Amino acid sequence: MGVALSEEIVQALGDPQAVKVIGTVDESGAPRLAVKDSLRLNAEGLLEYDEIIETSETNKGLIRALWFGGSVTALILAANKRSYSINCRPLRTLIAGESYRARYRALRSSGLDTDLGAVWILEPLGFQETSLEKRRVEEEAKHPLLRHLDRLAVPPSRK
Amino acid sequence: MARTIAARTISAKPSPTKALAVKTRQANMANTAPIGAGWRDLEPSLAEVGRKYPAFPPMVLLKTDVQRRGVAYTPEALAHVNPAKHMTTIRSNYYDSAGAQPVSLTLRDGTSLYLEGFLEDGHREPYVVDHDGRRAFLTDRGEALEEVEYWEKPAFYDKFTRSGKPMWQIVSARPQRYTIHPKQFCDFWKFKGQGCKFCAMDANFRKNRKEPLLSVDDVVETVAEALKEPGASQSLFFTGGSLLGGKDPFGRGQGDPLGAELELYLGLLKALGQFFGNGKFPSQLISTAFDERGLRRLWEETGLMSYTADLEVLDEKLFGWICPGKAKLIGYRGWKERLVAAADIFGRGNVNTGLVGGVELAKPKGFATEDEALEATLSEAASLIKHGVWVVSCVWRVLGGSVFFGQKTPSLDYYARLSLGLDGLRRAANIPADLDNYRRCGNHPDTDLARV
Ligand code: SF4
Repeated sequence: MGVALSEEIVQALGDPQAVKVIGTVDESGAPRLAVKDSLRLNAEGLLEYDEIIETSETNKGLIRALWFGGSVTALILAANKRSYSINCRPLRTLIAGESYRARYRALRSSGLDTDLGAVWILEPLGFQETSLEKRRVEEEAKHPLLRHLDRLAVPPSRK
Repeated sequence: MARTIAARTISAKPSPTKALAVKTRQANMANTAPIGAGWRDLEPSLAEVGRKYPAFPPMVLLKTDVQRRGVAYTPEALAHVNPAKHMTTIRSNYYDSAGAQPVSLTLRDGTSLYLEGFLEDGHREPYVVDHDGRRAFLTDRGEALEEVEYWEKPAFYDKFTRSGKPMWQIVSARPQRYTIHPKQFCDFWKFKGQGCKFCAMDANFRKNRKEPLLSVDDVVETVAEALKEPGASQSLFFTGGSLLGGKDPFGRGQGDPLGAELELYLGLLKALGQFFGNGKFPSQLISTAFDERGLRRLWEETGLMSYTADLEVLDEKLFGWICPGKAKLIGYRGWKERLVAAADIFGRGNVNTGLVGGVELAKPKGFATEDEALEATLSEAASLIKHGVWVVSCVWRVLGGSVFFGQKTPSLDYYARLSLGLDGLRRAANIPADLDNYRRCGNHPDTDLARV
């Protein structure tokens, strides 16, 4: 079942300076990452983005995940360097109809001379902050045995 | 018969309180009464075929089976059709509707369940479209299988030409294609026994009292209106009945029997070329197979980018039986030669030929087994693709008004193997399915497979 995204992620999604990436896997299982600036939150709390390139590996990876019950990842790197990973299920794709055409018009009126392969709707299933500082602190708290001794050794002067 | 409606693969689950109503409603629907009790025991089910071919996308398999079995609508599903938004009217070769039923449906992945009012095949129960108040679902025996959406209509559908014709009667729409049928009657039916045996064009033409030819002015005006809606179409598509010249188009020394059909499309394409600066534009023509001279004129004088001439069945003997007029006029080998010539002119991959998949098993002269039919079809498809001509198939819908009405179509297993085979050949030849892809035509399970 879907989850509601945290306030920080919602803010990062609305930040035009943030870098937004969709990660899928290809037929052989190799990861495919692509920057998708249009990734946004829709009124239903679902992620949505405009796939410009109809035959892109990302589009194929999303279709494959939708067909065979797989998941994909949305990664967001905010301007403040905090990053978030969201595990998503491709829910539906819009390839025609009024909602699709509204996005097509929006893209065209933004000045881009582009086509629109599809609009993807992704359901967030879970998320995690992946910022280094946050993960480092978590890691040391959770796995205290996984630390180098020299970091813990008391300097001779303080013995 | 019905189990509780339970969405297995969908997120928007129908509410349990509504499930009972759905169950009762479906049990009460007259058009879901069993057809030939026990038919389910005679062939592999959707789930069984899915397990047998795990790499076959479940949604494409479902589409294939829906096209094989047809759909019925519950009153609740029909109550949610909004004629101001959804497409309920269409004028096409085999089917005209100005009714309250959706013309066709789309799955969550964008796959079109191209139906054109196909309700049932007479041998199997149709799937049932139901609605839980939030969304429409495709169901079988009361179990919700997938969400569906009703096709939306483009804005021009509600407008009229200056000559007073509703524009939806001039141009029809698929998800990303505008379709024009300039010749609404096929001349093969003028000659006794020459029409194709699966074809219902003659019956549809008479039933709906259509004019044989659309006016070029009406088409130009409608396309001009349609082009005002951004994002509504990626292609202009032309097809219609054959237009045969002379009293005896099959006789010798009568001049070119396809001259008039060629001029019809040349004129139309040139008239529409004005919208695209008289350059090339994404487009497809399915016509009677023109000779090399005609094909060259189409390529050189118009903006047409891709070409199709349907062989319908890939076997010389069966072509003669099923499509006698085409066989008499051009012949199986002659038709293939013209396709190859077309590929030389339009470019490898920009020419294909369509099959009415399954008609090769029609009784009494069709192949005796599905294995034989498949082997013959794929081996012919392989020989065509070597010359840059690829093959697409649709699911044979046994239409009222066709000579074959009453026949039984093959198993779902057959269609799965056919789609996998054709897709495999196209991939091996490195030919994209663009000209007939899932959102332009939407009628070919094999090109649905091309999406990944
Ligand atoms: S050529 Fe055959 S299939 Fe096409 S419209 Fe004529 S009779 Fe029908």
